[in-house]
Amino acid sequence: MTILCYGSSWEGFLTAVFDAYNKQASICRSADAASLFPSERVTPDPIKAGRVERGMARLAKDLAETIYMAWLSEREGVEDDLLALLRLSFGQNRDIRGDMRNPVVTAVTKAARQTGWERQRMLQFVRFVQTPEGIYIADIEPNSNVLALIGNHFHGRFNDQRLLIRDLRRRLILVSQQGGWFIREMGNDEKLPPLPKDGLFEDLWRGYFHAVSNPARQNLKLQQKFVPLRYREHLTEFQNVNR
Amino acid sequence: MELMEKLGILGDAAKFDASCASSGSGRAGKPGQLGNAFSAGICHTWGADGRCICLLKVLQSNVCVYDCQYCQNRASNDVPRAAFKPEELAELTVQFYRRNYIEGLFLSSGVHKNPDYTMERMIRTMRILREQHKFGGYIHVKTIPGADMRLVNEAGMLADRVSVNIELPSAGSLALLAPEKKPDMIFSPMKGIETARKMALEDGKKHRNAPLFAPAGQSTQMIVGATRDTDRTILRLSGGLYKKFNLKRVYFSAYIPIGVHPALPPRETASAPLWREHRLYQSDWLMRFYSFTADEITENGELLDMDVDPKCAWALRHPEFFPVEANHADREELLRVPGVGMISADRIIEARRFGPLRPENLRKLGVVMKRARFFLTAGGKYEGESRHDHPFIRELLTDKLDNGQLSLFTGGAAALPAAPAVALPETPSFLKMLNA
Repeated sequence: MTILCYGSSWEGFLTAVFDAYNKQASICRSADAASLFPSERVTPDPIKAGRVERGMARLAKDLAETIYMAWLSEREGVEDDLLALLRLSFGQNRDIRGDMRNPVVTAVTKAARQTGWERQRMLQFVRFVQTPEGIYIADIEPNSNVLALIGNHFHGRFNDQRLLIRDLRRRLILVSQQGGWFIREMGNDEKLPPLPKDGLFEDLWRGYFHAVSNPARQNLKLQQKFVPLRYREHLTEFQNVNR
Repeated sequence: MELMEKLGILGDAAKFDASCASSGSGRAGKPGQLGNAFSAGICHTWGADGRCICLLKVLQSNVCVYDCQYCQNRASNDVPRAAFKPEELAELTVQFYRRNYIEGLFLSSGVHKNPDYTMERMIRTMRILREQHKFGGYIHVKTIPGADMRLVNEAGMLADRVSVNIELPSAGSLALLAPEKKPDMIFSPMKGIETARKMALEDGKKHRNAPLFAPAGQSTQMIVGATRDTDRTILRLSGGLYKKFNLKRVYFSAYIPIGVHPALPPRETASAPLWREHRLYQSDWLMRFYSFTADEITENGELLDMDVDPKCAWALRHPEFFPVEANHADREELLRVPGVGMISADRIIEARRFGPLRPENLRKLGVVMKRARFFLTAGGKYEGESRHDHPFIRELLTDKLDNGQLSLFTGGAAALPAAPAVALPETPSFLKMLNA
């Protein structure tokens, strides 16, 4: 068995799917030094990637979207599940996403759903801080790589604001300003200045957050179900006032 | 008064409003302007009571000339009073919105001076938001009972959702606890809003740019447990409201004793009926999405079963309907099975096209087999217990508290509070008034 390492791009992943399709192979982002199997570097190839994309589109219009969402989940081993699903789909020449009896289908659906959920979480939980220069900045650390999925929402909503959303885990920055939005990778030695304090409105929001909950109905377990602890570090209303 | 203090008072005063939706309006942002509306709604955070916070929910003012006995802001209650200036509240909303704290504004108010004056202040706030700040986010406004219909219409042109609180489930209860509010002050704005909304929709079909009227529809809220109204009365009334006025939601708010008054039930017997509220919401869901009727849910008596959820209760009463075979049943039948929801029903229908389903497949599909196994077969296989007499299954389906103890309500129905010292006035039911 060979291990195909494709780096981090979507095009690279599709190229790896193309190369791996007819062999005993496993796909991963980067080579694990301790692995027993020989690894091969895959160079992104637009022609191969395009053939895989057209193949998916032939089976179902939104199949590529499911695959893309599942791939963005960055779950361990998701590449191999996706390869297995595509082999099955192309082999049977039909869209098998509805066949939840199949463990490969459930694994991929689960991964895609995780990304979808986390995208929704980001629409809810991104909290901007206004800098003295009038730029709005937010920090996030999602499990799935959802930055590309939230650009349209925030650009459309805050169309008269300059926004930066920083994915601290992946060192990616979404920049939204008049005319459009894009994502850029941070340089290796680029430092992230910590978010400044926002003053009055942060305090007002924290005060409101506590005033509006009804102590006679306190239910912290339910609250934690909706706001998992791992998101709270970046949520204004859960931050310690003396940040 | 400091803004911080004001927001504390007016946020605290609004916390009894149960409505939390920011859904129903889909509106793209305009280039260079602030705000859009996301049609599924976005909840931005959850408070320590586990309820979502998606809108800045505040009162314009908690000064109130009415003296409704169930309300914290009643005239005779000694609480700090405050009021927002329209400019101030609009600015606060925009600042919160820009930081992605909220989806928009939920504006209600105590009756300050008189209903028309109050409504005008609220309209002024919305107008500043929409016109000066070009705010495209979500606004939910509560109309003030007794306000001029012209003002209600004006509010509907500015807001996404408009709501009129019905407050209590029967005319008798309303006369007892909120004597200043007459049924007509509630039903005629509801009717007016529905008419205006329908007309705006018709216009919208003819002209693309016709103005919208409350595009996210209207909702209402009633208090449960402050009076002796039964679950059947409450559910039949909600059913009637959905049908008659096309309401988007009916909210229930469990009464929390906040005062002592001869018209209120004795304090000891009016313990916060949170479980009852929960069961009512479950029933409400069954009525809106699972094609159950209020009569089916309450066919067993005036009060809901507190031990098991209303769907399980129905299933236990109808053994003739079960078991349902997952490989052949249609969607309607699947939806009647406890533990099968709308998503899992659709997945079952999709998955069985590829081949026969077995019980272990159902688990993977998201069916809650803990409940469903008693009512379902898959490929003829039944995974329920070998004993399937009614009390045995019923006990297995009973909602347990966290510590594994049976819930406090073993033995069936919800308890109504004891009768208040004052007798209930003779009045026709709301449902009769609705259908009149």
